[in-house]
Amino acid sequence: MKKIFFILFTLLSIHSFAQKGYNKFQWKEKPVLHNIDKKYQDAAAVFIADDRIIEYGFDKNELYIYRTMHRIIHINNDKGIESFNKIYLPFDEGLEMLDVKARTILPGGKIIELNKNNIKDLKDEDGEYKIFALEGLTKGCEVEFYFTLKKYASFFGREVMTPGVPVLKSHFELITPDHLVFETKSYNNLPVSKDTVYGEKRYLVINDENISETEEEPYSMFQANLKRVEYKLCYNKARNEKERLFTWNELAKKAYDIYSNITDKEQKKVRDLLEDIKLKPNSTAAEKIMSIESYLKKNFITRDDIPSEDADDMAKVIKNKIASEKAIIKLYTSLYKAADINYQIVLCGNRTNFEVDRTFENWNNTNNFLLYFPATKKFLAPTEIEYRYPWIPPTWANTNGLFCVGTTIGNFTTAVAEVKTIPLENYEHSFLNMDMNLKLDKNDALLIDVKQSYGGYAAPNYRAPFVFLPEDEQDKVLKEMIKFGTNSENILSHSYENKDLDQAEPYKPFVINASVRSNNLIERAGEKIIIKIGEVIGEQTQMYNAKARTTNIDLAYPHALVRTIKVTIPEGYMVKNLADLTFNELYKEKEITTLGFVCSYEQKGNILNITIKEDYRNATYPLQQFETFKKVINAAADFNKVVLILDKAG
Amino acid sequence: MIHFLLKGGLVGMILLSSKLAMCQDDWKKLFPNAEAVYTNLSNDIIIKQEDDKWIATSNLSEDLLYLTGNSVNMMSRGRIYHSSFNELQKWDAYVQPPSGKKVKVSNAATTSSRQDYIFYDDTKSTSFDYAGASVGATRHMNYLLKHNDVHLLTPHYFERYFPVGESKVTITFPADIKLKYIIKGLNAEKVVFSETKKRDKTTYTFTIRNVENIDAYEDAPDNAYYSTHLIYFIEQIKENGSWKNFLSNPADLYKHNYSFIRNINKEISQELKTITDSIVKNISSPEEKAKKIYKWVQSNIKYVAFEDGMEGFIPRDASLVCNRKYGDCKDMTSILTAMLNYANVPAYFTWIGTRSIPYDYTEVPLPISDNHMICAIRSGDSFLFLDGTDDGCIYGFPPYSIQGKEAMIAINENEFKIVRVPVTAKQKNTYTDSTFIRLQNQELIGQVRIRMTGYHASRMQTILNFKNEKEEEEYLKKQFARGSNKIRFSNWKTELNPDHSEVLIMADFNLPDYARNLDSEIFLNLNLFKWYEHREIDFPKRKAPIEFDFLETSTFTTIVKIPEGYKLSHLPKGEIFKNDTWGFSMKYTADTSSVYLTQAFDTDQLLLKPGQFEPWNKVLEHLFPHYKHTVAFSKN
Repeated sequence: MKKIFFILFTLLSIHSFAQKGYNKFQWKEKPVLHNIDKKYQDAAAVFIADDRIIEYGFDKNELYIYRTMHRIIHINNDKGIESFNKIYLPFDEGLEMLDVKARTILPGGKIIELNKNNIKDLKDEDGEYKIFALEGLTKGCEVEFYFTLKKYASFFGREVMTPGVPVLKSHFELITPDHLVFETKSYNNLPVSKDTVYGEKRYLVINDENISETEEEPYSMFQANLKRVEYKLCYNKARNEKERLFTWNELAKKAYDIYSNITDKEQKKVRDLLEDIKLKPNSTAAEKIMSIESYLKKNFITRDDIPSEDADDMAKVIKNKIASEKAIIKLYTSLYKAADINYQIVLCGNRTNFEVDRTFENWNNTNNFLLYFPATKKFLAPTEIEYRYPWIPPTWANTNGLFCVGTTIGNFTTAVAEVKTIPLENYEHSFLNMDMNLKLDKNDALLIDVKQSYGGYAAPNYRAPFVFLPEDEQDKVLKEMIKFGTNSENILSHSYENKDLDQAEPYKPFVINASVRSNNLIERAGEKIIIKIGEVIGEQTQMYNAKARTTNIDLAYPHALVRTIKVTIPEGYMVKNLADLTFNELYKEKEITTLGFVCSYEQKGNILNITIKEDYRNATYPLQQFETFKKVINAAADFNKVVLILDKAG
Repeated sequence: MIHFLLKGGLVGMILLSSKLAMCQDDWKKLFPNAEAVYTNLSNDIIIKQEDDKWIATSNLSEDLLYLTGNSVNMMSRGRIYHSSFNELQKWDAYVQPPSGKKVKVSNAATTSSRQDYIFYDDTKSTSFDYAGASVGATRHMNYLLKHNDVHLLTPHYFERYFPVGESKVTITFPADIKLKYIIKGLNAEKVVFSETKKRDKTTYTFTIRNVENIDAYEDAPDNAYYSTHLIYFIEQIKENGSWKNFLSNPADLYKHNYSFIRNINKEISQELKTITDSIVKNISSPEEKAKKIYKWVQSNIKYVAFEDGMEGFIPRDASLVCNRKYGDCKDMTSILTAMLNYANVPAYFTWIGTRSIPYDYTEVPLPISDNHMICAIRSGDSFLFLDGTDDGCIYGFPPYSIQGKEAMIAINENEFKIVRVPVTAKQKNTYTDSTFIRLQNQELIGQVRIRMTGYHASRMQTILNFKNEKEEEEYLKKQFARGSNKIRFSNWKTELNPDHSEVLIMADFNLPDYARNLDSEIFLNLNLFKWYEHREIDFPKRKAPIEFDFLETSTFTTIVKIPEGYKLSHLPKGEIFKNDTWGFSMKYTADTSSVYLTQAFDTDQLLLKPGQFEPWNKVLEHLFPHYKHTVAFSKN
């Protein structure tokens, strides 16, 4: 979405009223060391202060952002030293680093200030930084630094307030010229901001304290649950006090303009390209959608970090087959238009970190891009090479999307916004199933025929290695996948079904069939044979009551797992402990199963058939259901330990 | 420290003429499994004088033919590495489609390409997209590097990630240069050498044709151990009619290296003197002094490496390092030698190559033979090596990464010694893991006790030093898990010897659902872990050797109390199996109260070569059946 902003801020005329620059941050002339409460003494380091000051100020009649970060860090141990003796200041989108000051305050009171000549510029593949090393660090010392980065003004932003260390005091301050009215929204229990006007400036301030280190919990969206504040410009009193700025409607209109409009010259190139794609006559809407997607994903390389203009230029993109995200999206929309397929552009966030909030229009939370097809009511992710219609990255769904719904007013076509949930596909289509047939072989080996089926949202990640990796690497992945459940790398034969990313029937699973000889699933105790039957479902997560759970349970997508295991019992033997196979952890809401692990069996002659059904039918479960969720997870872990004990019959 | 080496195997090139035109299908026949083929790689090196200074240039070129769609995706971005010592002077790259016009590359960008452990240096990579690539197309790249310091000529690697059709190097040098070359690697004997002379210029040509790629493995040593490469260097230069040594032997290299330390530590600060005095106060034994000083540097000077240009070679003054409390390996050596010498313990700057470099100074007397600096002190007739960068290192133990390597010790301006760092004996690096169990209903209840010495101990200390109580417990839980993921530990106790030489770790545990009760019997597999499961070597396919960090002796014992009211009804048989490569012993014993399983392993190999892969697997063939045996107890 960055591209949109660049266009925008030149359009928005905001005139200065003589304010200049920004308030320079001042640190204490004579710093003193702080005493640290006992409860924080085990942490490697503690932030005594973590200040973020975002100021909008004018320089030569242009509006800029001056972002200041100030931290005082108390160092407790060697790990603290190693973590904070090297500082990386991000310089991405930065115009100028205005003040960088850093110092070390030693336990004896000595202060070592950073020499500016020791600040280095670093540009690597992750971005640009200013880096420096702080001198003299010992246990018990404090590191203090601040910097102010001048950036082009964007009218949206966010600050995530919980880093990986405890924070005694965190402070957020948004300073704007009085006529620019910003709003903030606090997430995850961060206090709300207080608004004051002082002189010609408006201040939005948040203070928070004693924030403990946030721990990552399993089956949780870590980033999304961190305390944060988001902010945006809402009104420009100099123009119109009542007109709300940067609404979702406005974004829908911009997106429509940027991604749906191409020149006549480009249109011709697009029509030529559509000819090359050779859509079959009489194909259905879904077939057309899939053919165009398949062609573009196979023949074009899309990268989000391309700086050059070539990658935005449609004619060059069609020729070179390397496109920026913006260009590839335009290519999709113009091809669908040329093929008479009705679409809506959908902008969305990601459940793992930042989502579209209907009531707070932070355009920065619309980083992801989907196309929605009203004719089939399905979605497509143009920039995601391993996903194919109707499968999209599942964490982009089950969250709000901004649907840009096209509308025509006279001769003028534009779009209006509809914020609504992007639905996930039904849970039944997403599965990781296994069918296994086990027979005893000589030397206490098991011959296992295994069929692993990966459907729906589960499929892309499993297919991708078999499409994108060189053959010898594919073999390694296959070995790992087969080892999970057979504990053997001895694959006698194997085959794949529906291996290609492009499938005419997208609901069909990716299947791996293999015949395996496993030496590791049988144990002997004298005459008795022990078959480690539980291990054929692979190792399962075991959850403990380590600490009280704090966040909801979030899964990438709802799914079901069905495993069938057929065991041929060798002649003259019988299974002594069949009852150990019974599991029944099943949970329902309003008579409908939401969650469960159920195992049943049936023996006919010397054939034992075991069926396991494991269900996670929702993408998210509330915190109150955590114990239930844990029981289901642990039931699978328990099954994994079950063995069959075979003894001579009679 | 010394980082001038460009990243492995980047050098290559084209041959434009004199080549039978091979089509895509011919290459497929030649390399049926290849996703792409480097049809031509060439590197034309010229050594010459420029403004009274010797320099070299490399004109590199490569052609990669895409054979699969996959390779088009994988190899869509090209990359050239360079630095201030190997300046990128010009470059060109394009895609030649099977028919039609060339397509120029796009989206070129230059970024830092420093290694993770270096904080700042000047290595760069210029990368770009091969636009218009497709199956059957060839991507072409050529570029010119200027080597500003001819001491630092980097080896040429002949092989690549994909098979190579022809890989050719030429080195052209004038009559006042004596050049030496060494060819190393698995295909060294396939490299064909020829020599031509034109007026006063000699050209050496090295060519290899149709070589398969060598698969890379995570546990393999650096590719210098097996990839085919050419090391070339100037032995002598004629000046004013007489030959002068350049880099012909270790003495020449020493002279070159010494120039970097000549002016270091002429004076040391009062602060450093005061610190040193306080550390060695009331200590007279040189060894005790050295121990204390080493410990101080280990705990107080942190590793931060700034290696911009000559910073990669010249240590900083000890006083500066003392103020900063950080430095790279050379800075650590500087402060160690300064403090030790001030405390009257003679100490010396010492260059060494870590085990990632397979060369000896005596064979390859070049700066490329070392990448590290340590401090040496005398110990009787031999030397002890102190590495300031390893804060877990035990005094007297060399870091395991330099075992068996030659060290170049700077005694004074005119005198140096080359001493081989010993390989630490396996008896000094022990790992003894004991599990004591009793059965209570369906559950195993017991204790674990793990004792480590030598490198095992120092490594564990380094890991634990960086964890708080909670993190430590998480780590120990994972590291010492056994039986199944249902094991629950409690009461962790760790005893760390202050000199890092020994670690003792103990905990209690419960392990449900591991023992199997049936009717009147209990079955229990005493192999609580199966260390070597799935550790077979991919023989004969694998060509790259396997590197181990150090020699070791490990013992795993499980002791189980015979449950009350039960008797031992089945005791598996053990086995001792050893061959020239390695071996194990698996011993079951029982007395009236307990059953014991003791497994012991040892190795005499730091580097396992392909010839040893089969015997390695043989040992595993013998070992694996034992993993299945279960002890049985039956009711009295």
